[in-house]
Amino acid sequence: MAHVAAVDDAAWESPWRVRPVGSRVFLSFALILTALLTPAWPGCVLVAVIALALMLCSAQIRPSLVALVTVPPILFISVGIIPIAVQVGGTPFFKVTPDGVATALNVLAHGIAGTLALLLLVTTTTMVDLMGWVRRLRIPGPVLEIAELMYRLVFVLLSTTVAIQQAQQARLAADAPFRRRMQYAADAMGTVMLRTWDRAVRLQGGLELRGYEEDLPTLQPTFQPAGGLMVRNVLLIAAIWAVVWWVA
Amino acid sequence: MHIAEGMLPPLQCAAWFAVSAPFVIHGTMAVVRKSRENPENKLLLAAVGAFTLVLSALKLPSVTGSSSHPTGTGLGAVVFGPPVMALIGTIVLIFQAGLLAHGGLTTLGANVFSMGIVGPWVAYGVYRGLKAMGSPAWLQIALAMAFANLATYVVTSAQLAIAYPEGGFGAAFAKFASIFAITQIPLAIAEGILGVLVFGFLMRTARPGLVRLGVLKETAHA
Repeated sequence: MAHVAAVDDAAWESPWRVRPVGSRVFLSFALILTALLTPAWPGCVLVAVIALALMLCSAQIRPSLVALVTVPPILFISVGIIPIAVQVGGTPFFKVTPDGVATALNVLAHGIAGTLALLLLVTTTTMVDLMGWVRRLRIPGPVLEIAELMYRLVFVLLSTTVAIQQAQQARLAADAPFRRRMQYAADAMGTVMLRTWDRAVRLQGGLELRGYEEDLPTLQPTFQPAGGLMVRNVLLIAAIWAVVWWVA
Repeated sequence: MHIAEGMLPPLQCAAWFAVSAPFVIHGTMAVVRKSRENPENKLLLAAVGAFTLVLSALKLPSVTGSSSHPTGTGLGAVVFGPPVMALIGTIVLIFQAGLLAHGGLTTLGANVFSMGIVGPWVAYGVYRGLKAMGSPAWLQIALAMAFANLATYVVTSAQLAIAYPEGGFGAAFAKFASIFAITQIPLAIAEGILGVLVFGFLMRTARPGLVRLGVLKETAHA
């Protein structure tokens, strides 16, 4: 759970924050689509290496944080492909076929490359900046406001949840019988739900006192010009596609 | 658990986006209408979304010895209705992809369909059906949460079977569903029981709020 705040902290501190949000969204989405549409070799491998290199070098994300945010989804994808490798039916009932293994490895490559490309965006771009950018896409105001309010509530609730779980652990909740642990989980869920409600009502009151009516604008950082960055991004993506075309 | 980035072929990613889009647009219209009716609803909807997101970080004890997490969309569907949960589910899934690296952007349409559309509609159908039959409120909530969880994973199994139908769709569906069943059936039962316990907790501590939302009747005080 700690890495939720770590990802957000990294995004706030990222040297890429001065780059226009559109250029970061373009680069990440183009890499995700490249990972989806190109063959595992060399397309997905190139996307994975480039996304990782950009995170570690250009965006200066700490290697420990990169490991923290990349290892869980990669493990999840690695476990998730096992059923793809296994075919059921016939004799023997369960069998691992060469085609199944090839498909599973192909999915693994696409999954890892796509996930790294997505993580490149989220470790360099705050949700506040992203929502400010999305506002231009004519999405209804109330929808964006709900998303912004949700984002603001999430971190308060996460810290509440961590505090509740630590308090339960201190009361030896982990050693309790299963029935008691279920009761602890229910108490934690109920408490978080009530706190959410309470915080939402108090936030509403606080915002109304500050003249809140329809909009929650936030200050945007000053961005450097987008032109050069976009040209570099386009050239990078074009280079990946050129290598894919050349190898194919 | 959602379908991760890169797990679905490109055409199927596009198809699930197309299938989910009308429900999300309908949900967006419902959210805009509800927030214009009463601006306070925006806060409540954000609270439901934040609660759903935080639930995904709250580990549940599992009878298999491992741990997993509840989805929370069943409760939201009961309180606000399934159309609203299509949009709230979409926002939650985007945040989960962004903050937890859980799910993905290209698989967003498929995940919205299973968790934000089918799960809440099944939960709401179970809740309304049991309510019409006059069953107790705790049973309505418990089964709504359990069936929302199960329906989500049945749809996820079908989506994966469509993507990887080795041995035929039926065999592939049985394969994915039976693998998920090892964790998801105990988890659905646990989430249902947890729903009853949470409901009991809320009955003790927040009865007026439940009455105001229409989940409980005023006469339930007696």
